[in-house]
Amino acid sequence: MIEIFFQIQAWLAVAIGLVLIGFGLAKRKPSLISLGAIAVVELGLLVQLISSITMVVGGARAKGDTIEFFAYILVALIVPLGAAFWALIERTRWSVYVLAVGSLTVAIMLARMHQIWFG
Amino acid sequence: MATSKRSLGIGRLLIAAYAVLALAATGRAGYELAAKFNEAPLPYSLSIFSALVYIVATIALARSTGAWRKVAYVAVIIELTGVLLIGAASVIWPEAFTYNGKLVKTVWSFFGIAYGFVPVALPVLGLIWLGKSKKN
Repeated sequence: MIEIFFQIQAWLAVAIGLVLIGFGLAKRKPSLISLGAIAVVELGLLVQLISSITMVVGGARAKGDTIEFFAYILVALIVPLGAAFWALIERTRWSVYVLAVGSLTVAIMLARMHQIWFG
Repeated sequence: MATSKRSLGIGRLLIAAYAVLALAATGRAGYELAAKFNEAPLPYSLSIFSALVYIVATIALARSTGAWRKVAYVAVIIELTGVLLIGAASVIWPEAFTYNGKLVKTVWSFFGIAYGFVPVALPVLGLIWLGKSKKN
């Protein structure tokens, strides 16, 4: 895990979550913008996964449990996918809140991953 | 009609929150079971149990009709009982969760403090929603 990338990614996930709550309050239905936003969160996680694998292959280890760290990334990767899938099936404004919950969940999981990696 | 649609919508959000908690608890329990179950069997068994209850509650709330309604009620009540009992036990009787001088936590320890108290809030919201949606 790279500190600066973690900071950008975690705060971006928080910001996207808050914007999506705003979209929900504005009673907007899931759109290309809200689905694109959750896709950005997912993409960030993929970059995190690949960069962390590269670091571990290069000999780096988490201060905590490296396996737990990767378990978190893998579960976190499911969250935006599940939320987006939900939003595609059910195109109501409530799905926008589901996307928001998904983005904020990823932010919390990233904070926990940071704890595991940096101790 | 507008109110029934609205409560349905909020119900969707509740189900989403349950799904997240089910995923979190399952991920945690799976990792504990695979990596270190023998270190602390009681707390890790509780993790597995809570994960199963959250999965059942999520599915039952999503279906929410007929027999699933009853399943949802039972799951939510087990959850509330679990988080209150284990939450209280972790405060009053921490020795029961101490292994090799280290306090091992569960999803329900200290009323779910590690999960922002979501584990104690969700079953209460679940019961309220089950009660309200009955009228529609």
